[in-house]
Amino acid sequence: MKNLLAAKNITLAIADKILCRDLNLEIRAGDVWGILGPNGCGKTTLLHALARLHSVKQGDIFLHDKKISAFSGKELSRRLGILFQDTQESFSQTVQEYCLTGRHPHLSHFAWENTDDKKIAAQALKQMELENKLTQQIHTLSGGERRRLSLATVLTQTPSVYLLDEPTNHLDIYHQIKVLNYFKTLAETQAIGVMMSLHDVNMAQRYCNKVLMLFDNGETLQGTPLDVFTTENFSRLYQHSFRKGIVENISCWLP
Amino acid sequence: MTSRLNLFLILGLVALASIAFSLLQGSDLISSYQLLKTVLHQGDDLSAEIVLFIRLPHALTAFVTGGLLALAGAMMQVLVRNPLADPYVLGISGGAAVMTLLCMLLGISGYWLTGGAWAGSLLAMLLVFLCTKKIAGQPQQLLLTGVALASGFSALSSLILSISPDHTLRGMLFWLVGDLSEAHLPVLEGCVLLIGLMMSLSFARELNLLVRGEKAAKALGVNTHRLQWKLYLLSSFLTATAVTLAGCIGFVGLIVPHMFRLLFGYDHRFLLPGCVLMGGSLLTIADMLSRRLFFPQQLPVGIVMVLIGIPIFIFLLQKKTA
Repeated sequence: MKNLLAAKNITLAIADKILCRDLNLEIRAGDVWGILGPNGCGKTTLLHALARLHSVKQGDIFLHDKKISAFSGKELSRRLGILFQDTQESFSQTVQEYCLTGRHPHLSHFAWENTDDKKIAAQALKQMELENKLTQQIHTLSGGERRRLSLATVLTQTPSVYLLDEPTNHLDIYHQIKVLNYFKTLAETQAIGVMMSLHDVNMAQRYCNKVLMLFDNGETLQGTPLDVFTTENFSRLYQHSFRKGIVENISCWLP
Repeated sequence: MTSRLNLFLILGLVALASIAFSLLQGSDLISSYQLLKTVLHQGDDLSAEIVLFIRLPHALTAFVTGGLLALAGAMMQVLVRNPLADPYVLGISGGAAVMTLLCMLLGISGYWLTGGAWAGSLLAMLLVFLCTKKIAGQPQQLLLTGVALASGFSALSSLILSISPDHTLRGMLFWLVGDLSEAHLPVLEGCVLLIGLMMSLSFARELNLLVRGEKAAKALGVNTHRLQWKLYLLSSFLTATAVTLAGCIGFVGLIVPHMFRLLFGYDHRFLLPGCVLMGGSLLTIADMLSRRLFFPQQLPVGIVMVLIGIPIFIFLLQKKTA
């Protein structure tokens, strides 16, 4: 299947610290990638680099087989959406207004959101169970609701590649499963690609078909969860011993 | 959508009403009947002259100044991502004040004074840029640099005040709190306001994204570097125009954007034109009151502006939180 997003031999660094060296990565349609690694190993930086928000020290990134540097800002964000780890707001907005900003890359300069755009936003808000809060100001939302609003906004952007930085932050178990399940189904049915950083290895095993481990020393390991999920790898990744259990024929990992 | 249209209809009517009131109520009472006749070119010459050559320039100058400041304030708040920002926060007015006071001290007047104010504003803009090296990317640093420079200008202004002879002090003080007494028909400034509004509307939707921070805006395809430069240049230029026109009238640029947000929401496509209308109306009314309240004594319009603005603003704030 065709590559949606590909990284070729990229090296990422912050100041002098090398985060990953000569990384090759391919996100294909239907893929749900999980990035695992300890704090500060470069999960966020990698996602930002893939979204052209952080420069790579070496190597190239291709979106639909075209260098990402060749896209204009709006062209890029029509195809690639990123969810940030957290958000900052100096001023309030209503839930609907906030979500509709996801349509920005699809609108020409002076155009206003039309009924189709509003339908897309309403659909995304419904998926995230926020349809009853359209006119509420965002600063009155709870942490989990804010997170779901950010997710609805990136869904409203309708890209073909989703880069999600800890999408389950602030979410309760019900919503974590709902959100991860939704993106998995989306990837499988709509031929899109998802890459997300996660801290819960059991969730990663359940919802990702590919996994990238970023080690503290800049080394990387990738493969299917079945291949790379071992107690040795986890212990090395998190500097903490792991045990494996089997529940109803599914392996689970206990730190 | 229709409710938003109604909103602008109302704001437009308020703006027109404020100008009409200002024409009616001057130091010399002219009845509305006479005003109407004047408009229809049938009034007697004296009242016609008062309305056309004194009150109309006055009212329009107040309106344009208010509009310029409110628009510049709304943009400046997005540029530094801080609700406490106003058009003067980066020291544009401080630079203008130092140069104007210096001109007054040296006995320079007329067009040179206007030129001095302009030169001071541009100097301040340049200084802000030289001190931060970049306008985009670090709103916190931009804000702090501006605040530091503004304090420097304020100290220089105080220095000039302290060494000035008594007979120039009154004029200087009036300029510092905002003075519309030397009003002329603000044709050029009106055009600046209109063009500035058009330009700001061309990136209004992008401002809705920039308030969430540079990365978030970039992720949705906004060229944040260019946008912030546009914001900086345009809001500084509008502020410089306003300051040159009427001195340092405070409060409008800070409060009007917040008033609009409290009443009508946060979408900059409505906020920017709404601020022009609201800021214009508010300053026109303040100007009328400043001439009428203690007639024949005239108060500096900047002071009246603050005195009527504070209760309205606190009322809105209370209502919103309650």
